[in-house]
Amino acid sequence: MRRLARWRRVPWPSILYVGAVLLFLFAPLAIVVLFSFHSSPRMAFPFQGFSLRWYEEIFTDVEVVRAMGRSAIAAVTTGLVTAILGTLAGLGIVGLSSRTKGAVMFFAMIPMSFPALLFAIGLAVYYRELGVGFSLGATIAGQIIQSLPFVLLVISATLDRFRFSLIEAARDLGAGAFHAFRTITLPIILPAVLGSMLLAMALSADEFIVAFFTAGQDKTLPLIMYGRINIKLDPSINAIGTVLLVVTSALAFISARRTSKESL
Amino acid sequence: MSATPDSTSPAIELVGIEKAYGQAPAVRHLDLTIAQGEFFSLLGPSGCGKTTTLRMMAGFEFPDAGSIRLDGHDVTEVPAHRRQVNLVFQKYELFPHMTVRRNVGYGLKVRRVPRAEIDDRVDEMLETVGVGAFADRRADQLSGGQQQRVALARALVNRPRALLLDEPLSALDVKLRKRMQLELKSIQERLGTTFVYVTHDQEEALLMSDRIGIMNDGRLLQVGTPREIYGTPADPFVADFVGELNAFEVEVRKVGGRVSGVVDGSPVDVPSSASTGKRWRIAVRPERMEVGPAGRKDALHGRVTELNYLGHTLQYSVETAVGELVVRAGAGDVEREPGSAVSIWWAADAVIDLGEATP
Amino acid sequence: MKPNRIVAALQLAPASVYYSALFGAPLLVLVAYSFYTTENFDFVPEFTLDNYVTAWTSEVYRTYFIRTLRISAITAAVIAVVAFFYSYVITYTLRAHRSLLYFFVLVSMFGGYLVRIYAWRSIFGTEGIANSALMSTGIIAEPLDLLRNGEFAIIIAMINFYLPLGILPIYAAMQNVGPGQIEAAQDLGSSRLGAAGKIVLPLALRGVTVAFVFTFIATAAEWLTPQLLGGTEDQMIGNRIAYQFGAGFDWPLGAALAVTLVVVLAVLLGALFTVVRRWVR
Repeated sequence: MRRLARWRRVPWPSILYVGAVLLFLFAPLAIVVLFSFHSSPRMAFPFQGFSLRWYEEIFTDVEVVRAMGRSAIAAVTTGLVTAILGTLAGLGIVGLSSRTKGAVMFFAMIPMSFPALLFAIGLAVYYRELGVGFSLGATIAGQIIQSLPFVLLVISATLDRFRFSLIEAARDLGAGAFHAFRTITLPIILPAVLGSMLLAMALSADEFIVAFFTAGQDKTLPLIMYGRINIKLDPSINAIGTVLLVVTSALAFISARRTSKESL
Repeated sequence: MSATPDSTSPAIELVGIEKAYGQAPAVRHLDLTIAQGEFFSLLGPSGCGKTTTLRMMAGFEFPDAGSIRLDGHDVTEVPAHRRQVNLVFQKYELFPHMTVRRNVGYGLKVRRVPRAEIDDRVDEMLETVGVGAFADRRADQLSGGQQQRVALARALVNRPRALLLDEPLSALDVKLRKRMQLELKSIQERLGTTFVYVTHDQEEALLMSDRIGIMNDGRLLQVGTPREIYGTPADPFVADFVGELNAFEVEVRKVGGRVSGVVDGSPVDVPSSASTGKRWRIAVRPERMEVGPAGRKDALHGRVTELNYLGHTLQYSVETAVGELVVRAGAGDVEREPGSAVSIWWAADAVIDLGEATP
Repeated sequence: MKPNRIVAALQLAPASVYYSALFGAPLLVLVAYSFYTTENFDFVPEFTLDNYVTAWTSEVYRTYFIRTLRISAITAAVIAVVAFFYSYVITYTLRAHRSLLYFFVLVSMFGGYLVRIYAWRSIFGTEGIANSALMSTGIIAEPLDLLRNGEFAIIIAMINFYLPLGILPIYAAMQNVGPGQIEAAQDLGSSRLGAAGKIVLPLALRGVTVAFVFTFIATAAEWLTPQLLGGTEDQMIGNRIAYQFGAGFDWPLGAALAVTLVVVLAVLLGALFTVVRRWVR
């Protein structure tokens, strides 16, 4: 009887709802991952059996491997540049008065909600006007704009929690301004900086729209995948998609764990 | 930059210090000399300028006018990291990502002291303050009391010419605070370092200090030993801020050839500065008042309205002609029930002069 | 204070310069382009309003704009509702696990844009997973039209990708209302649902509005989802814009359409914010 009562007290409708939402969020990804191991090229049920043939195919495909290399370069460059720009800007912003700070943050956040398509075509027009050709570098330059707001958000939230009186303590003990930054501020905010860098890398690796309009012949992995979607029945897409997914979600996962100590 | 220790100069001298934030003055024309090896407290309510004064000594704030000398050397414009004083912060400000040992060794490492010497000095200091057992813990894993000790060690290990403490015990609970007060005092006596201690807790200041400076509204009102501050406050604010006070007005008259204050028909002692024909404000501390049976000559008369038992003392509230007075007596004394009529009197040296009454 | 200002300015300078050079300037150039003239497959800086005349008077583009706003409004509204209840449930009912349940959403937000669209394309395809699964289990005998690519598929796929964007601001807003306040409302006689409506909704309304606005903006400029999941009758304005920069090769017209879209969004969402602010007062 008592067990039954406890059973009844469990909020079943809530659990079902949350479960359904999470299932909905992750189901399409699960399907791609599942069919990337399908032994048959058909992407439909019933499932025929497991095989690694599509992975073998993509990892021996020069076009795909080259694209992976470009995507990796883009991700690492975007991550490094945004982390440096974002950390510097975050340090600058934290010292501002709260009104100026609000205004600066408002402008800094605009690229986050600005439609990627319009930004991408704007960038394409701009490059044309400047006579800069489309390339991987042109794409990376745009992806940095897209991830900078996220990085800045993470870093300025961390700096808001940082106790600047620790710097006073270091100065009191004889440290110069730069020494105090290197030994106190930097080590304390470093997890957040690295976390935001990983986030920027995830955003870059998954980025499609800016790359589509500005990469030219330097096709990144999402562009290769896009190119193959329109060709009928290319099951290697599932494997490319899975690789992309594993990389970006792993980066996002580590990033979220590093930056928000509250989570988990 | 190293100033040679010079025992003939005072540890710290502040001359004509002025400091304002925008239009708001924080410290007004402050002169103060703190001797070598002294335990000096700056006492006052929050916002009185005591912390600003301390931060100017530390080199975090710079005076608008006046000068600061440390061991006889002018350091007015020298920034914090090049001053040979160290500060114990109110919230300790231990570096959370470092161990206790690295926290304490930070200042020595910055000054490029050889590694072996750092280790020795850090270990010794950790023992001195009683946290040797936690040397390899991370600073954010310590209790409040332990953090307090580490903060103290981190400052003292540099052998500062003076140690500045900014309400270092205010975050601790009452019991721990009492214990740390005694420990701080004994550490100071053992090391002989000059301590400048900022607090708003008058009991703390009275207990620990060699001398106390009372501040209010940016001004240094009185400097003296605890006994002087408590017994002969130079100013009504000082009298009121340090300890409890029964303050009232008397009429100054010549009674039987002597200048006396007359209250309720009875003469009481007044300060020698009081002049006849004027109304004078005087004050007497609750524990300096005596309470006895009604009808005594040359005493105030009143009725007990409240009796509180405080453990070691009895505290009476007595309604008199000059208002309600608080009187304390030893717990062994005869208890006088509320409602009973009593006499109240005091010794001549118990009177605190608050000056002529303003009409 | 003064040296600190200089340091702050120096720290802010690189990011500011970068923003101006690679975000501000491109958008200004885009606006400028919308006044360019197209001549012999080239775009020349000769001022004209022709692009805007076409963008605003053509029946074709009006159809695209209206379809876009309809699809975006439905998507954003569904997301706001689903996200509100998700945030509510994880914040109050399943409070002990809220960090974890929020964390899942956070992780799903970064990654899988193209992969998701592709997955939905496979699910809703003519011989897609949805129909084949239902048919192989015998629930249906013939493929269902609803489960084919089209407006329904576009909306589902966009909800799927943008739902985390909706949960984020609502969840954040709800963290300001403790379970104690809800219990107090219940204690004063509100039903559980009544408490949710009277206490949480007004306080979370800002979050809900932000969620709606964010997803509305994002979906109104969508182009890949309708392209890969819809037929010719399901294309959105983003597709027309992208087309002018691709096969259409009329960049000034594309730029004028883009500027028009931004203006329409700004006016609509500005009005929405004003209404919500009045309502909250």
